[in-house]
Amino acid sequence: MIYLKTLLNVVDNSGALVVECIKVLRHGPRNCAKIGDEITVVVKKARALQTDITGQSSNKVKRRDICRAVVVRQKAPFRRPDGSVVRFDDNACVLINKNGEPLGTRVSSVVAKELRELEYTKIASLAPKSF
Amino acid sequence: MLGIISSSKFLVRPSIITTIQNGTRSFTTLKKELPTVYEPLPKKRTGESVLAYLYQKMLNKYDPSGRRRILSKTLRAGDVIRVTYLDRTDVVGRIIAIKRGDNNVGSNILIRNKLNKVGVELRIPLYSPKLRNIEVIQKPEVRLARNKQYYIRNTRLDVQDVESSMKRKEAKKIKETERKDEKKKLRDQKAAKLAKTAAKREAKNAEHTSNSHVVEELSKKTEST
Repeated sequence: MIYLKTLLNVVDNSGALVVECIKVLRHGPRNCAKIGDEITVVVKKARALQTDITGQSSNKVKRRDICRAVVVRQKAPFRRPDGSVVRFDDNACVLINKNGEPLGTRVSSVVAKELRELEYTKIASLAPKSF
Repeated sequence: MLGIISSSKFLVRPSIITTIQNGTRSFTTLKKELPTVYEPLPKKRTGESVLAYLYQKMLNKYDPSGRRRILSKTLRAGDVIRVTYLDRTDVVGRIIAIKRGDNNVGSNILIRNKLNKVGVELRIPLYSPKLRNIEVIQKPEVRLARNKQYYIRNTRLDVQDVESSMKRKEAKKIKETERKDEKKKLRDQKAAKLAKTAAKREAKNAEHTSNSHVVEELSKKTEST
């Protein structure tokens, strides 16, 4: 149930911490994004800028940036084909570019198993656990 | 005009009267043949309600061994279980609620766990043919109130990472047993040492006494000579 104005946690090392959904892509009007759906987001809260030894900052995005993301966890219960129902405690996403590749290099926490069957195998394999 | 109508009425009436007087009733014979009637089938259920009968039938179909039915009776909220699927993947979690309904095949278990500090919940159909095994890992010493413990979410009573806590407990147990073994070994060694020293002392004492005997004998011999 992710739609306009929903706040999501970001679970990668792109630098964003909290983002706000501003558009659900490839869905009809009055339709919500669920796990594996692409959304457009605004970065609301980002990690403080820290420069590396090489002089480059580790943050790929900063506050007020607009980018794309894929939903990896959702709070609303959803059903698997075998009849079981899954629910996470928060809404979370991973930032991606327009080709569907993740911006960050790491995924820090659990993601849904559904991503593996979709085109986001890379995110699923980066994650420490999938549920 | 009036005369004609009245006369026609008069004409109709006597005919009706005559038929009743004769005592015969007119009827038409059916042109179609009557359908054949068979004996009634034996009754499937003797007074049992349809739904109860159906539930039982479905349970027998999906749970022929009756193991799951026993589980649905014995499992309780608070137990930690491991659910293994047919493809050998497994899920661990603490039971928050069991929806039994009318004890039919729609029963399911809600388990909760924490992975990387994120709470995850899974509602598993109890009679699913995809399940290989449901194993009880741990039963709580003190049970929380209620059979449906939805209230523990995000509170002090919430589930911790079940798997890692289990591992920690196992490690602790192993360590304790190791410590005990070491202590035992030390004790054994000490005891062995003590026994050795005691044996030595005894041997020495024995030697001493024997020596004294010898000395005495020697002295006696010298006296006699």
